[in-house]
Order: sequence, then structure tokens, then C-alpha cells
Amino acid sequence: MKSLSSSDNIRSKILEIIEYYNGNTALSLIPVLNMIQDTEGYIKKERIKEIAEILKINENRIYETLTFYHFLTLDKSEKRILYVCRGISCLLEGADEIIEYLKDNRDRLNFDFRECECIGLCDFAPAGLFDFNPVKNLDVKKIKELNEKV
Amino acid sequence: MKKSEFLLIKKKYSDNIDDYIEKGGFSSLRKILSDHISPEEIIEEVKKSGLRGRGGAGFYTGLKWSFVPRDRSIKKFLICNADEGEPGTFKDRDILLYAPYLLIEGMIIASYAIGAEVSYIYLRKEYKWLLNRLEKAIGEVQEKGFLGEKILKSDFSHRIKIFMGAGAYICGEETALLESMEGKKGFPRLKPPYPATFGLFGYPTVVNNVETLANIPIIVEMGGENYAKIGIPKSTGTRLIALSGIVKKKGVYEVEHGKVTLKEIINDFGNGVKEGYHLLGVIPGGVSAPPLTYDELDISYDFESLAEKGTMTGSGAVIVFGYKEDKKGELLKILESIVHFFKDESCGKCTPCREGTWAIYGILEKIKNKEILVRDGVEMISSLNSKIKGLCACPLGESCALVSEAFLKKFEDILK
Ligand code: SF4
Ligand code: FES
Repeated sequence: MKSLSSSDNIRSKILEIIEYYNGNTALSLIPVLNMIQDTEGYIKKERIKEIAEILKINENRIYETLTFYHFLTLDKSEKRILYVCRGISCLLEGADEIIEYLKDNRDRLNFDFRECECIGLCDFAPAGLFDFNPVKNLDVKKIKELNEKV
Repeated sequence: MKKSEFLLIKKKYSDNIDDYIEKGGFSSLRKILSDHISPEEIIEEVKKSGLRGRGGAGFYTGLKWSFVPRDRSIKKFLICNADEGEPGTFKDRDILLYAPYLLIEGMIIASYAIGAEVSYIYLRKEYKWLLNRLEKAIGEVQEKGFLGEKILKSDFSHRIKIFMGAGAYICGEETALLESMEGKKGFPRLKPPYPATFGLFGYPTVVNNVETLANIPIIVEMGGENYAKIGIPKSTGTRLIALSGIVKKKGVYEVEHGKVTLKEIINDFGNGVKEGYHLLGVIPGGVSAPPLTYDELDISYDFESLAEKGTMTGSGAVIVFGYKEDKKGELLKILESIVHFFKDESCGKCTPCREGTWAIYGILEKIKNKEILVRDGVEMISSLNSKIKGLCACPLGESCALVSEAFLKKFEDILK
């Protein structure tokens, strides 16, 4: 079987999404953007052209949509991302100290970190998401462990 | 007295389909289809139950459904709002995790009642880790014949699909959610028209919260009238609360409306406040709900009692706050975090909210730097709010003003 190039692969995934949503291309837009973001780590210009052509949605409209959402980005992140919650329940459990620590040690980290709002893990505060998987009860020890694993 | 936390919804927790069926799962759906109970009758039962939306606004669910046109030739949609983004809220997460079949059954019944052939779960991207779980659950329900073509040999067919968001608090607002599904930025729409007549792609649409839908099979099973006997008038049934903050035992608990006070929630469920912390108050329904002070916690947890106190049950997020040891200054940090949230999540559609939330943040900075008194801040915010209130497409900007004003007023002594 001939292996698909990454570009063919993305294209076939886009077509799968459109099929899942019964051919509704508007409904497919955000799922397509999510898929590309999750596969490639960002949404590059060429992809926007490609989406515009397949979904028949104006390129400017796609930009307008994607710049609105926190988890869709135009810039490539070289590393994997840890989102750290700075929401109220995490703050009450010392999220600000964790964020301070991460900022101070940014250069030494093997992953990128970003602050975010509540991620619905307030009972495990301070909480984060690594590759969109929960990281519960964050502390310096856990961050160091994560850093070694990555 | 320790109150039971397994009342209605939690009793039906099951993340295994056979176990759920054993517990009586899908019997409500089966009953409807085999006894040919009409959609109108189901809407009537839900009306009788007095069920109010568990997402934040507390609108009567049966009434919402009844606004959908009955004309069978018009396509309709049901959307399950799984975008709980109100800081402090995580109770829908537990339903998705521990009671996905109960939710799915609720969605199928709701869709039958309003006449929707397709429904969607709008899942927040922060819950991407739940996506596979949900997809699997939907597949299993389909295999058992409760979803798909001609369910249980009736003439009702239904499909459930998942739509994942991309990170925007405002998309929890039902019309912003619809815009987002249409591939646009999540700007709330001006209302009317309401989604029940003009929703997804212009088709009549009902958007219901996860917990609201999880109540539906229970209502069908017990009958609306019996359901309404639980809780108190105008706040029927139970409520899942997400308890977090400075309590010892955080988590999702189920309480009967009107039967438990906030103090009991902290002490009986939360096992009290953590050592070394001073309890200052509680945010009773997510950060859009104005706080209650320590002295106000003998209040019953229900829609009406909290409304009388100028706040709300909102999203069911009970955040217990205070400060550690002698660090009173922490309180301002808490308020800053809340306003920061609003200012970041204002979608920018309405000028008073977009500018107002930043201005309020600036006022807090001034208080922090001792450039103005807390009292001046209160006045400035309340005059700002008169320029936000009623002039925006959604309540976000107004909530920001109300909450920060209440915080400053109620805790002036500590903040100054
Ligand atoms: S009030 Fe604020 S959040 Fe709501 S629609 Fe207007 S700008 Fe957006
Ligand atoms: S406030 Fe941090 S997860 Fe909710």
C-alpha cells in the first residue's frame, strides 16, 4: 500500500471531517482547524489556502474565526505545551507561585508553558493540561518530573 | 447533619453500559417508544417537573422546549452544551465521565420531544481528554439499538455527533455557541429571535446544559409531578455543586434544592476550611455570581434564596475563599483574577463591555497602588456599570461590574 504524504494525509482527514458532519462545510470549519492544530502544532498559511479551497470558505473568514479562539494559533510552537490554570480556585491553591516558577525557569524547560483560564479541574488545583491531558495538583516536583520525561 | 450526596443523578452514575441498563437505564426511552407517548406529553411532564436549566440562567426547560415550532416538516436541532467554562465549574465533567449514558439517554428523549433527528454535544476543548470516552459511549448506545435508524423498531431515528470548541469562554452562551458551530467567531447574537425559533443555521434549536439533560430520564421515570416534590417550589430537584477553594474535601456533590445551606456544604461536604486559612466568604455560582460574606452563609442553596441576596446558583460552582495566615492582601488578588478573566474573555462585540472590563481592571490596579480608596473604586465601577447594563448582547460585562462592586463593598474593611 502506498503511504500517504503528510499533505495527502491532512487532506483525507479534512474530507473525513466533512463527511462526519454530513457535508456541511461551515460546521466542519472549527473541527478542521482543531485537527490541523493538533496534528501540526499550528495553522500555517498554506493550510488556510487549502482549507479555503476544500471547504469553499473565504480565506479572510477563516482568519477571522481562527484568531478568535485561544487554542488555535498561527505561530508554530517548537515544543509541547503545558497550559497552567490561573483561575480563581487554582489561585487559591498557589497557582501564582507555580506560574512564577515556570517563568523563572523558562529557559530550562523542555516544554512551552502558557497560562489559561479555568480548565474544569478545580478540585485538583493547581491544575494544568499537558497536550490537553490533565495534570493534577501541580507543584515544583511534578514540573521537574514532567520536564525530565519530555 | 451529613446530607446524602446520592440523590437522583449520582444514583445513576455508571460508566459501563450494561451496568447502566441494569440500573434501569434506557427504560425511560423504552417506555416512551413502546407506549407511544407523544412528544407533547413529554414536554408537559418536563413542564410539570419545574426543571430549570443548570447551566447558569435557570430558565424553565419545558417552556424552552415548547417554543420550538411543532411543524414536522421543519428540521430541528438539539445541542448539549458541554462548554462549562465558568471558573470554578467542573460538575458537568463528572457527568461526562461517570454518567455518559444518562446524558445520552436524556439527549435522545429531548430530541424526540422537540423533533430533532440530529443532536450535537458541544464539548469544550479543555475536555478533549473526554472525547474518546464520549465517542465510545455513543457507539455502544448505537450498538444496543437505542440510537440510529428506527430506534427500538419505532419510527424515530436519531444521531448524536460531537463538536469540539477551540477555547473561548463566551461560547458557553448559547447563541455564541451556535455562531461557533457555524464556523464563526463566538459573538453572542442579539435576541430575539431566540434559538428555539432561529438557531443553528437558522433552524429551530434547543441548547441545554449537560446536567439539565441528565435530569430528563429521571423525570420521565418518576413523572413530572413526583419530581417537583423534590426540592422546593421554583427550585425543584437536585443540584450538582462543584465545591472548590479553601475547603478540605473538594469535589462534586449532589444536594437537594432548598434543603442544604452553604455553611453545611462547606462543613458537611467539604469537611470544613483547611488549617491555617481564614474563611471570608463564598462565591455561590461561579465567578459571575456576586460573593456572600462569612455572615451570609446560613442561606439555603436554591435559585430563589440566592436571588434574594443579589446573587445566584449560576453554574453550581461553590468557591470557598479566604486568606492564608495573615495575608489579607490575597483578597485583592482573588478579585483581580476574576476581573482578569472577564477582561480576557469579553468577546469584544459590544464597546461598553470591551472597554468597561479593562477599565475595571485599571480601577483595581489603582486600589492596589493606593492611588484611590476602595470606596472611590466602588463609585467608579457603579457609574461604569450604568453605561454597560442593558446595552450589551450578553451579561458578561455587567457581571464583571456587579461582581467587582459587590466584592469591594462587602470586603471594604479588609481591603483598605
Ligand atoms: S457583553 Fe461583552 S462578552 Fe457579551 S457580547 Fe458584548 S462584548 Fe461580548
Ligand atoms: S480554576 Fe483552575 S481548573 Fe478551575
